[in-house]
Amino acid sequence: MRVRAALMDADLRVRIGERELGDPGPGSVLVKVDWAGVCGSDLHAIETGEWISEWPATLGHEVSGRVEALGEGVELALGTPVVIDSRIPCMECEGCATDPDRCTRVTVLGEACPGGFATHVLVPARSAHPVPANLQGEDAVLAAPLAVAFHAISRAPSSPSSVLVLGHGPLGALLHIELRRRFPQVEVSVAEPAPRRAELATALGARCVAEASSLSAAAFDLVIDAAGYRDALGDAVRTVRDGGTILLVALAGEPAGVGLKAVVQRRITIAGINAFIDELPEAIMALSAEPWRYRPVITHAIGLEELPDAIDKEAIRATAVKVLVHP
Amino acid sequence: MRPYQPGGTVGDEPAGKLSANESYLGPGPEVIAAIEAVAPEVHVYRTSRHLRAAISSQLGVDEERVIVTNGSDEVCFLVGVAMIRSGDEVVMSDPPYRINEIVSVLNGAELVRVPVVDGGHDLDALAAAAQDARLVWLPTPHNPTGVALSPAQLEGFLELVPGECWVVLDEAYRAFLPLDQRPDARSLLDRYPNLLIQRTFSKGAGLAGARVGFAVGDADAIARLDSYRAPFNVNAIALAAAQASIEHPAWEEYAISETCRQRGEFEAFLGGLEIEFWPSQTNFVSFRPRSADRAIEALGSRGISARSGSDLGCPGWVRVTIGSAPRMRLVRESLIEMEEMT
Repeated sequence: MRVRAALMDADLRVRIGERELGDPGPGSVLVKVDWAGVCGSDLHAIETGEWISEWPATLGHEVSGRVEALGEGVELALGTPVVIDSRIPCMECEGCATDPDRCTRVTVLGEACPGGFATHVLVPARSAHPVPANLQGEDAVLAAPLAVAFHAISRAPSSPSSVLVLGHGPLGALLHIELRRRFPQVEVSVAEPAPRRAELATALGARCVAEASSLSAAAFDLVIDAAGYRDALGDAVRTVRDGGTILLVALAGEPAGVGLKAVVQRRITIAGINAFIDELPEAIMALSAEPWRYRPVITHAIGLEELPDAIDKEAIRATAVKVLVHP
Repeated sequence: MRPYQPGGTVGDEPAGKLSANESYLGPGPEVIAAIEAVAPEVHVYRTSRHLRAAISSQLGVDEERVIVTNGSDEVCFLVGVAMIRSGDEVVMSDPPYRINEIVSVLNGAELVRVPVVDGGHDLDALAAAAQDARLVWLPTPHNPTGVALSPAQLEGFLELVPGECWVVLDEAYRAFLPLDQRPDARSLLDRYPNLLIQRTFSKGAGLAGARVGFAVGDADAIARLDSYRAPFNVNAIALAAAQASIEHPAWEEYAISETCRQRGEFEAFLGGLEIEFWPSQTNFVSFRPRSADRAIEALGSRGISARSGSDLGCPGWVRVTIGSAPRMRLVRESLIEMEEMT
């Protein structure tokens, strides 16, 4: 089957064209894409070509849609609204032997195989999670990043009283919203230089500053780096209180120049958060129950044809929070 | 009299409802928390005393010049029973805000309709009609056109209206105006005792379903309206929500800013397709596609309900409320498809 898709060539230019997707084989489903979210890692891949194993690549791993065709042995009903778990387990490693969520060689939709910036995606049936009928596709597409936020918060102290979120892009904003849902009394501060994103942080009730350097030292129980800028970890170590926790959810590209002596002496816990494990169903239910809570994160929606001109990392950072694509 | 028809949905798809000028972002987290907090106390009667004080403080006027109402529409109904006598001439632009028309007819008024010009009020014609009239309904920005008067235009108009004629200034969409285009209510009220200003928490604050609004004017006029008001006319939940929205304005400011940004993008899109529209200062845009019926149909096929201008006194036009970014994307796709087919 030929589908219309965004194609990124090895020179990292993105164009719109057609690609062969094939028919769903045993255990696979063809999903007609309803909405696909632009993730920070998509922008990173466009900037660097990192993680891509096949050219031209079709990025996009945050996907909602409807089941359009089934491979042999799949019991989903045609037309079922779904969101896609973008992780593709190898099903061969020791982790997969116990639970595919624990795959040690996991690859990602859009990087290892054609993703959601297309009219259709072909995925293993186990990756297609049905969503409740009341959940609109444009809300459901937040399930994957919200699952990341859930996973991150599962690593946080049980009841933080003060939190600093570095960066208020899509993931930072979802973390902010979810922290407030779970801990209504928590004081959230946000460091975000982009005005639009800062305005959303303020509107959601945060104290917002442009740079973390203006914040007091040792002031927060929990610091979450959702920005990944050069000295984010340094800012996090400086602002977290003794005995506090730092969660790293952004993919920082630069080596961190942090003195580990301070980390040890001040008993700081640092945890890396990569994607999610089994939080996707929980995120789907949260979105279904309270879509209004998370919806403000979505600020822009474009057509597939607009994507090549729209995926400018700096422009998106300056003017948008979450951008959705409607193929 | 044809009863008021609220904007509907396509099937049961509330997310696609762009027919009632509701806020797509709704109230902010502090307002929702206030609603949840008051829920266990709804067995108690509540008066609007605290909200009235907050509003009067915000406006810089005495409390006796403010009345809190069950939606701004209650102001219209109170004005109707308190100020309009059978046979009075009542002036309004055409197309009018439908509630103004309904209230006037229900109270036996003789309607004097003044056609809008480019979607805006024809102030000279309205002022001429006001010379023998009991009352002028003046929504600005106007619904269903979205066009607003400038503060100078408004002031010029008020100068021309005789003191015996009430001017009811409906500022339901005031929050969507740029700051320098918002009339100075206090100054106008001090200078024009025949002026009554009504506002709502439905649009900018996103509390349409709570039903809470208010009017501010001359103390005697407010007392007249108050004498017709039902006791406990605004429920405890609405009162708490409105109070919280005054105390926590950041969310409303953000929601309005996002709405205005999207409205600008949509108007630019309409301009690109050479579809005529009235430049709006609200959370909706009224436009005239080649076929209004086909536009409504095309939008409906994507789950979007828009308002037919036929229901609003402007046949051939379509009114679309600014919705979420994904919904506005679907609106654009619908109109592109329709324009390509016609």
